[in-house]
Amino acid sequence: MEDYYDIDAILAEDQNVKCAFQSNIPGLAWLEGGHDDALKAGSRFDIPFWLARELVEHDEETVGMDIETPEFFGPKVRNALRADANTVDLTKQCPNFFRFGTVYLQLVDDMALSGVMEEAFKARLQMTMDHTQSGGNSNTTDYLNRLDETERALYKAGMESSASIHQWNQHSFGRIRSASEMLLKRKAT
Amino acid sequence: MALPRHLKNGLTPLEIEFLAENELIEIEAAIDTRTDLELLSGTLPALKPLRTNTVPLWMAISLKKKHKCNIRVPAWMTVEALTKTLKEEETNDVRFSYMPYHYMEIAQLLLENAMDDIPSAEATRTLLKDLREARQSKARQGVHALGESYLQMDNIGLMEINEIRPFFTKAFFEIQKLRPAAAGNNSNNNNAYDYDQYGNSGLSMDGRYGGGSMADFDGKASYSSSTVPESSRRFQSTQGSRMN
Repeated sequence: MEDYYDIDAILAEDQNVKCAFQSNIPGLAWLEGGHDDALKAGSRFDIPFWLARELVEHDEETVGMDIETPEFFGPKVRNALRADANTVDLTKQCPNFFRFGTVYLQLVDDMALSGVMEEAFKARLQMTMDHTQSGGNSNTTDYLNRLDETERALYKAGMESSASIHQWNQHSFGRIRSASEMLLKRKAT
Repeated sequence: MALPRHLKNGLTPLEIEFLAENELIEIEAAIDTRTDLELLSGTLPALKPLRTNTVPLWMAISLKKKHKCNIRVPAWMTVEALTKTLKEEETNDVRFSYMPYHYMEIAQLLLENAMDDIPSAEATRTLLKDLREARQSKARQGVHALGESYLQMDNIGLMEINEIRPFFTKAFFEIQKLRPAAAGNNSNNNNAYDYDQYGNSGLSMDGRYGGGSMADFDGKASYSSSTVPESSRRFQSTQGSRMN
């Protein structure tokens, strides 16, 4: 379950997925941009993922429809991730690849995909870690462009902590002191 | 919490340094305090010249700055000990060799404030640097092991933990999120049940809320009730720590 107010989660769920509707649905034609009342069976178009989930999991009446596997979860990308996860450009595929993957897998049952994603994430983690420790002096832009948002946040966190240790080593922090108010108080008493 | 982001990740190096100053260290005082020293942390026996006194590091440094003591280099910080540790560190690929919990901070403070008390300070500094690099690359290897239920790193120092903490904790949560199947596998139910649960996640949510309260009164339902709250608690705990 994602945090309701998490803006990244909201953005991740905004990813479009292709849906095919199996039956006529009255009152939903506006989804496609049409002016008729009923959505015709067999229509197939992109809707945001959060909307698709609401339609499928609707409490009162479930809408009969298929969510097609998005292209970036397709066999081509899967095979590329299996072969060498480090070289795949995830931003190009889907900027929120892993985050969207988790919400997608909560709705759609795809054991193979979850395995592929976990393995890929772990493999890429190693590379991200190495880059955070190298202090940003190696050529990282190429590599950074290939990361998805989750990994980028990780990279940033790692960079910050190793930078602060580095600064501490260089004595550029100064030292912890009492607050000036405390010193004044001490003098007064 | 309304903390700046760099403070949310844990302790800052300066705070860790502050903690390390409470470690005890041996000094040879040049003054005689005559009375015992009453400190917040307890009473220290009076300092006597020409004798080894054990005091907190902060006091040692403060006295050193006033030229009122000589600091004894800790046994692990001598050139011989460090050379030995470094060799051990390089021969063993997996385990960290033993170092004090606050070794980086203590070493840095001593090198900074008590250079003249350390025989061959430059060699010590180089050795410490080599040691740190060897250990750092080992910590990096920890990424491989990540993704199990826990990660074991014996003998790692506080400063070293703190360096990898933000990265590892975040990565750990992400991996947990990526394997939803792990949430149901704790209690020994078969795979078919798992598939069913994730196939119709909407349905199982309904069942969870409806069945949870009934199971409290019904002894027969205890099997399902023991599996369900566990997974929901797991979600809560991940969320809670993400909010921190």
